[in-house]
Amino acid sequence: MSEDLCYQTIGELSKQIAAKKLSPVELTQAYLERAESINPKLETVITLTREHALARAVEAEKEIKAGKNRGPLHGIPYGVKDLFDTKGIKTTWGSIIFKDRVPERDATCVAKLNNAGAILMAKLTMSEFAGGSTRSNLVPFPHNPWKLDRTTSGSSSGSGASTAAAMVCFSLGTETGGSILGPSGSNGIAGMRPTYGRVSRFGCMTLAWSLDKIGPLARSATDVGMILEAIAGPDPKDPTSGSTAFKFRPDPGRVSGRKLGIVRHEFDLASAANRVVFEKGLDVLKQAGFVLENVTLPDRPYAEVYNLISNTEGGTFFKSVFNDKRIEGMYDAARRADWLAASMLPASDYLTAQRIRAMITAESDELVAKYSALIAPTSSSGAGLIQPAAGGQRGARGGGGGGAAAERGPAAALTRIGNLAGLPGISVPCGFDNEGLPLGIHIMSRAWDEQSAFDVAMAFQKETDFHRKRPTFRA
Amino acid sequence: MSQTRREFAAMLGAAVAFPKIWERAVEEFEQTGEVSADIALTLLDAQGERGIFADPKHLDELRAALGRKIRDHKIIRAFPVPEDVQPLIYFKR
Repeated sequence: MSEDLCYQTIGELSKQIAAKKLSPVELTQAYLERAESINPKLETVITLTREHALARAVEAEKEIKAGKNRGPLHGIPYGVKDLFDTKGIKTTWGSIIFKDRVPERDATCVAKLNNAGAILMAKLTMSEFAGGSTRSNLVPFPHNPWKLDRTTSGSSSGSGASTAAAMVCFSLGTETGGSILGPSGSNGIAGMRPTYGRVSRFGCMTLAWSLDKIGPLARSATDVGMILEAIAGPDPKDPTSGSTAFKFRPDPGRVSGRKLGIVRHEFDLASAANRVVFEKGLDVLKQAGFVLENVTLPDRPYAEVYNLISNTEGGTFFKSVFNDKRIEGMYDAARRADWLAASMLPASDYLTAQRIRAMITAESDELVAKYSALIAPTSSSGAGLIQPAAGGQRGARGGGGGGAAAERGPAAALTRIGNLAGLPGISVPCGFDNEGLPLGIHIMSRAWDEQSAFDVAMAFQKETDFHRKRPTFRA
Repeated sequence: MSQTRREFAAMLGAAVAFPKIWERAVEEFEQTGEVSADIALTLLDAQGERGIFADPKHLDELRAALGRKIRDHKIIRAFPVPEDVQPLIYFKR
């Protein structure tokens, strides 16, 4: 009964809460108990904010009984990746170096969710400093709820897996190079990387100023849309935040005749068996009335531009930790050295990379303008095996597992472009591979036009039930 | 932050010499496939404190990272960029 309750969508839960048939306290208790019982298997929660959550749930119940309903998120429990500042609650950035860090403020998006009546119940596992894999020396390795010997992908590892396992109703993650889409795809849920600047990053750890984005993860595209509406909008505390709010339309409207650009090369990189799954997904879109057209991405040094920009910006942000030698506590030694080495590159290289990025952005805008969205696999394969890493902690195999693979493999070109060009994209589940692991499709639309991506995702989910499947926690 | 004239002169000298040191690192990498400890230490000193990278184990990690960065650097430098393309670092008022 409790599992069925926890797997309901925001829309389903919110109707019952508004009708006073479901108490926010009862709902929060159900999620807390579920999270406590499952976390020993998945290791996706760093801090469970039990007392805080129950206190907020009591407040929500009082308000709703008094007729004050703040909207669809009122009384809904959620978790956040542990790099969002939460006032008075430990926020570790996934690192042993900051294991005792307690901020005195809420991040803007946390404050917005609180204002919408949502109930913060968990700070979720992430890879150290939002790195591409799922590794950290702070917490045990997280496990994929579909198969426990598989990675969750990263760096929003806890957000992806906890949401898939209904330990929380929804979560927030961040993406710099692939860290929302990767975990969404690997865990079989919906996750959106919005347009750069759509959501204020105030109070969120910086990895790369010109690349970081905040986005929601949930078990349906419609839920993701509702959450994005609540957290999006201008913020004077974040000068990169855009000037307009986002109004989500839950009805995709008439989709017949809308054109989709299919990045055929990326589908061709999948195994024969996985290509069958992806092609069936594309058939669903065709049957729904979309017009599919193959597109080719320009040949550009996407990975090199991304690496140079992200390493230079990340290394600069963490400079103080190098200077006082706390950086010795960093788990990923190669990444640590990359950050320092990037600071030794001539400044003109950074500027040249940003010039190439300007070209990539202009080309991408021109390409995506011709379509409602571009479509590619989120990853060509399901989640990789967890493998022992150097230094003893179990790490992700590079080929299929974490965000590192999603960021560096050839199948992730569209994700790379989306992040460099600041374009919005949503991943939704489109089937399962031969081992029962989820596969996802990445739907990427124009800047500031998240609605088009949502329309495609919602139309897809209207015709399929992959988003309704529940993980099996099998070993 | 107070600085002696000698420290300031050293810093200025490093800033001027830095591009030359970097070019030496690139040449060495092209010839040998790696960046030597000497060059890595020179680059390290030019950018500031050695910190944990004074430890030979961490210096080796830095040498490998420099190799990776040099590969990216070469690809980026070789890419033709039309003259009217501005970097994405606008300053607007």
